[in-house]
Amino acid sequence: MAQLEAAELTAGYGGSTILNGVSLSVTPGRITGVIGPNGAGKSTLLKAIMGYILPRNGLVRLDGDDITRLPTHERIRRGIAYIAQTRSHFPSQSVQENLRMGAYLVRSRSLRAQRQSEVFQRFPILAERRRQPAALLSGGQLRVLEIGRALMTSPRLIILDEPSIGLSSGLVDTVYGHLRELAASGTTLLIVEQNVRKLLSVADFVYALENGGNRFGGTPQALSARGVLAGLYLGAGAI
Amino acid sequence: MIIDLVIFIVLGVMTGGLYALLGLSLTLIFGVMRVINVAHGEMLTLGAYTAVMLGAVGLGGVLVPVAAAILVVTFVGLIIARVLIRPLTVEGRVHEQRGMVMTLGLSLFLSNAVLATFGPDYQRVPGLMARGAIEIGDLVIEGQRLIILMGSLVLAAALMLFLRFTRLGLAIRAVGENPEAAQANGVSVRRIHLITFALGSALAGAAGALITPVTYAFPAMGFSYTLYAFITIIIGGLGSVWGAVLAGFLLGIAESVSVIWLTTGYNAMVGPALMLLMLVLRPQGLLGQRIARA
Repeated sequence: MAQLEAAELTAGYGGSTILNGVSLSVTPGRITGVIGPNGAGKSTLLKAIMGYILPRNGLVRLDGDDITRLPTHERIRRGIAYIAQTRSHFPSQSVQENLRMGAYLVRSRSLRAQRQSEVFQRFPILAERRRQPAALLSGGQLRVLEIGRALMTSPRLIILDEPSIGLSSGLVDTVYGHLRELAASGTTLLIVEQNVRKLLSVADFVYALENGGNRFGGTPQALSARGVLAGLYLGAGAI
Repeated sequence: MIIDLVIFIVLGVMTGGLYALLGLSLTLIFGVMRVINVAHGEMLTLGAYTAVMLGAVGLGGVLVPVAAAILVVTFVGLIIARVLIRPLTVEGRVHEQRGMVMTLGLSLFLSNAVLATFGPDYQRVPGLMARGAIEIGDLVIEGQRLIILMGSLVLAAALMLFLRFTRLGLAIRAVGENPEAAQANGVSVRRIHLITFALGSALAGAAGALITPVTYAFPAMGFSYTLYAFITIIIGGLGSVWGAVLAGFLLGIAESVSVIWLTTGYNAMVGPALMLLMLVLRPQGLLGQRIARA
């Protein structure tokens, strides 16, 4: 059974419609990718899945339960973690305080301490900088902090909006190395990405969006074989 | 001359504590919810009338009126946040202009509701709380003014500690800094908005109960306190908690000391003048951040 499912989602901001009946299914323990040109509706899809915006139509299901109208914080409580495209952290707070914030729903002090030491073990750079304000971290370190913060609730599913944005290619490799390790340890990942090549190298399944609708869904190999990419990014004439 | 200066500075600190408390509570609401709460002074009015009513039945002192004002205004604040502010909230953020216009209407409604209920007369708690005075040479500090200062400081300190060290305080600061990220960490922005508005309003209500023994309560009293609260947080820097405290005391002292040079009555323009000066020279305020929230 799909862990997370979006069915025929229609959503937008104010009067405009950005998503027009998008469906997607995320298999537990796998990396699912979403690609598509600017304006295809990738971020909007994630915001609708997270409850930041309410879809006008369609359903979001988590483990078979309808969560379409559930407030965002309740979705976090149910085991989803979300890392937004930009500023998914608190710049004025220290690394440690950001992690504390990530563990907001973890009531047990000992469990918080345990999770924090796990995060520090996984990402030693965060331990080194634990007392520094997040604002002083580099782009790559920030992304690592945001992943560490997301791990504080021990989520079953992590949703990431463009984890490669603003990073040099070396740092992108590092961040994706971490993501691959997470997936290997059984965490489900749903990743929206502009960096198509990188995403295709890690994803088990990939969806392509175009103009707010589904364009393709299948393995990265099938995507390449069918030449979807050229059509998607270069216009229909290039096929 | 030096003696005069010292005396006026001490007297300025007395009012400064009140400005600090008002600014602090207003900046809390603005910083977390981005609501420009023009009805903040009316929360003080409600607290003042709570004290007046208790005084009328012989319940004076400090703790009872302040506690009662906090209770009453917390309740009113919760209703306002739930019924009037929540409908203006889209995707975790209150619509700024609509929020301000709504509180402007609310301010007019509340002051007129008080007028309709209690009439236009000036009312006061009959000296119940006033307890003697401390005299040091020419310096006379009425006991009640000391109580206002101490009360303001205790409430301000309690708020600071609450924001700094409790889980709820952490969530309130998080929503202020980045509402989307706070939600992504499992914080309910709706709940935090309710709590923040009630908390900020309650502190203004407490200020109302503290000051009624030395000043009169009347239906339109809130407006000038709203003005002073805004002057305080504009000087201190919008959204800055320590800025509000610092600016509150600076404003109190400046206003008091100005009496040495200005004819009585003209010192009311010191606050607005300082605010204008600040807006021209350092628009972000003393401790404000230049960076706007994302």
